[in-house]
Order: sequence, then structure tokens, then C-alpha cells
Amino acid sequence: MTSRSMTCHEFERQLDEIVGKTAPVETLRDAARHVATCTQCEELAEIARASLGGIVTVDGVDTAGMVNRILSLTSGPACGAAGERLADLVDGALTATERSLVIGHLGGCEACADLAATMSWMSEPLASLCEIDPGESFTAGVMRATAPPAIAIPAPGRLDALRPRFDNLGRWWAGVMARPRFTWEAAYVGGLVVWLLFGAAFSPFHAVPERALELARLNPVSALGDTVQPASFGEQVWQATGERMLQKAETSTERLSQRTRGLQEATGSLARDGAGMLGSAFRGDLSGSAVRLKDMGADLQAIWNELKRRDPKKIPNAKET
Amino acid sequence: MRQYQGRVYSLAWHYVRNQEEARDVAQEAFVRIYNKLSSFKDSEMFLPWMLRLTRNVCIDHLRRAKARPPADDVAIDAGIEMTDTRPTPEREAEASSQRRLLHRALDRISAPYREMILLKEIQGLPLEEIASMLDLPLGTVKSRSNRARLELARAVTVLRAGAP
Repeated sequence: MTSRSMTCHEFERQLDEIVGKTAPVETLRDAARHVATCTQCEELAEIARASLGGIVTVDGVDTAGMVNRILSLTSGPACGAAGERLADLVDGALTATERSLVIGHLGGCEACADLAATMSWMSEPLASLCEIDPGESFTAGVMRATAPPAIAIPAPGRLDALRPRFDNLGRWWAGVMARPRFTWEAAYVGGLVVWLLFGAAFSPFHAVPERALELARLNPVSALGDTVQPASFGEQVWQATGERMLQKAETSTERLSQRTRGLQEATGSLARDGAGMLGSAFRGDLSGSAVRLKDMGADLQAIWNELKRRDPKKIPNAKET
Repeated sequence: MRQYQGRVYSLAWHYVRNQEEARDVAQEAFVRIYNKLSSFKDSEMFLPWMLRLTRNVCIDHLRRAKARPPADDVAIDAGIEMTDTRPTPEREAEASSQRRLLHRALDRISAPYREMILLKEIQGLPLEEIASMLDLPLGTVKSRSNRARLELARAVTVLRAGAP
């Protein structure tokens, strides 16, 4: 395509001078006439002007609409391309060429210039949003949540409050144990309890001792009579082992008696007195029962003295106790 | 803990946008951080690791709260005490106004862009950390970050011009 005074080839060869307006006035005028008639060279001139950093109007030619048309056909709208680079421009991350292109666009585009200014401004306020004070109780809440579970220990004040009571109880019991009549008193209280349980007419266990006595007097074998025969196997076992077991039991009892001969008399007396006390209680003879209880206390005292005589280290003094 | 509680709470607040919930989330984040301290590797940077855990707690919280109706728009900056203290009341008022404007602008941009602003511009995390945190290519994170800043700048410009 040619014009009257300039060909496309000539225009392209002098493009930099034409766009930069360093060419002679006649050449610029010829170029203006040429681009007015040649669409291809017109687009070429706009691209060259954009790359040089700005939209430059060719003398005598209104190119305002041409820029958008050309960019929409090539790299898209100029604002879109510049906008994608605004952040890098603010950060200083653009190359020199890109920077000059974007700055050139900003020189002619007020909207993008405002965006760049806003973007540059908002960096500092955004950084100030980095920390927000959560309040004073926040730390305590986290500490509570991360603390190990507390072991349930009674408050020391509670134990301290109970300690004098335990001390008083201990002192009272020690005093009771140290009394000379303690044995007698203990036997009396025990006898009273036994009588209340089994001797008193109002007790639900009143008939229990008599029944137990009747049962003890019964001969189980004769009581069962002919209705129950011992199993033949059990009978054979008894015949084979019973005699020997009885002999061993008698021997062991004899040895135990020899070793505990000193205690034997006292324990026998205690057993007799206990039985007598129970018998008196069952008959309702309270005075007799009390006398037997007193005798039981004396028996217990004798057993105590015998044990203390045998091993004084293990048996502490009653008063000390 | 005091050194980082402001950052953790800020991150939580920007995610959940509610003071009380942000406190709960931040406390839960600290508990999780405390429990997972043994898994922290010395080769990692502590702050990104901590913010990553906090973000996970925030996302868990938002997922749990998804069934609930969205909270009403709260008055931005209401009751929020920033640690940034200015020397004069005038400057403090100006800074507060700027923060309010930014919060309103942040509300106007999409969630991915807002998260990118939160992590990159507010918390100052490097792009590599964000890429790792979001499991995205570095190039994607970079372009998204640039677009997010552009969107935020547009929102700020619109708000400054007084548009609704």
C-alpha cells in the first residue's frame, strides 16, 4: 500500500524517528498522511508509541480511538495489562522496560494512576492490621486450657480442722486403755451386749441359743436314721484315713498343750466362765451373768500376764498402751 | 505466647469476623500449637508454622459453623483494639479511619483474594510459605496476590469516591 508521498516501506524504515518526532517536519507530515490512509502502518505506529512509553499523537491525526482498537486486537486493553503489573510496580519488581511501559500507561490513564497510588498507600495500613490485642483474659484462658489436670487434693484447712478431733479421740482411747478396771468394764459391756442379743425376751435372737444347743446335742447319724445311708465311697475313705487323722489331731493337741501349758488353765477357765455367763444370761440370771463376766475379766488378765511373761518385748505394758 | 497472641488473634478475627468466636478460635489454636510443639521441626520457621496451624483451626471452625446462618455485618473495628499505638489522637483517629476503610474494602473482595491479602500483606508471609500453605503453585500464588491487591485497591478507590 502506498500514499502519494510515502510508501509503507519508507514509513517502517523511519518509524522510530516518526514516533519519536525526531524526523524532519516534512517527513512527519508525509507520515501523517500515510497513516491516515494505511491501516497497517497506523497499527504499527501505535504499537511503537506504546512501547516508547506513552500515547503520542501523530501530527494532524487523532489516535485516541485507535489505541484501544489496536490493543483489543493484540494484547488486550491497556488497563488490564497495566493493572496486572501495578503490584509489581509498587514492589519494585518490574524490569526497566516493563516499568517504563507501565509508567507510560499511568501517565495517560488516570484510573490506573489512582489504583497505583492507592495500592502504594495501603501497604502500611494493611501491615498495621497484623496484630490485634485479644484482651487481658486471653492469656489466662489459654493457660487454663493447656495446664495439666489438677489432682484433687483436699484443702489443707480441712485436714487441719479434723486433726485436733483425731488427737482428742486418740488421747481418750489411750486413757481408757490405761485404766486398771478396763478389763472388767470391757467384759461387762460385752456381757451386756450378749444378753441384749440373746437373753432379752424382746430380742429377735432370743430362741437362737436354745435351738443351737439342741442341734449340738443331736447325733447327726442317729437323727438321720435309716433314711440316709453314708455313701459307700465316703465310708471307705473314712475307714482308710479317719483313724489316722484322729491320731494325728490328738498328737498335735498334746504338743500344743505342752507348749501352752501355762495358758491352758487360763483359757480353760475363760471358756468355762464364758459358757457360764451365757447360761446365766439365757436363764435371765443377770447377777450370775455379771459374776461370770467378772471372772472372765480376771481370766483375760491372767492370759495377758502369761503372754507378757513369755515375751515381754512383743507384749507392751497395758498402761503404756 | 504473649509475643504471638496478637498475630494469632488477628488472623482468627480476619477469618471468622467475630470477636468472641475469634477469641475461642485463637485459644483453640494456641492449645493445638501447644499440643503439637513436639512435631515442630527446627528447620521450619516458627511463625509460618504457627500461622498455618491457626489457619487450619479457623477453617475447621468455619466448616463447623457452615450450617449456621452467616453472622450479620459487624461494625468494622468496633471494639477491636489494635496494638499499633500512635503518638497523637489525631494520628490515631486517622489510622483508625484507614483501618476501617480497609476492613470495609476487604469485605468487598472475594474470599480467595481476601485470604491472599490476609496472608501476604497483613501477616507478611513469603509467597513460598503461602504456596505451601494453600497447596498452590508459586506462580498461581503470585498472580493471585497481585490480582488481590488490585481488587482491594479498586474497592478502596470506590469506597473513597463514596460509592455504595
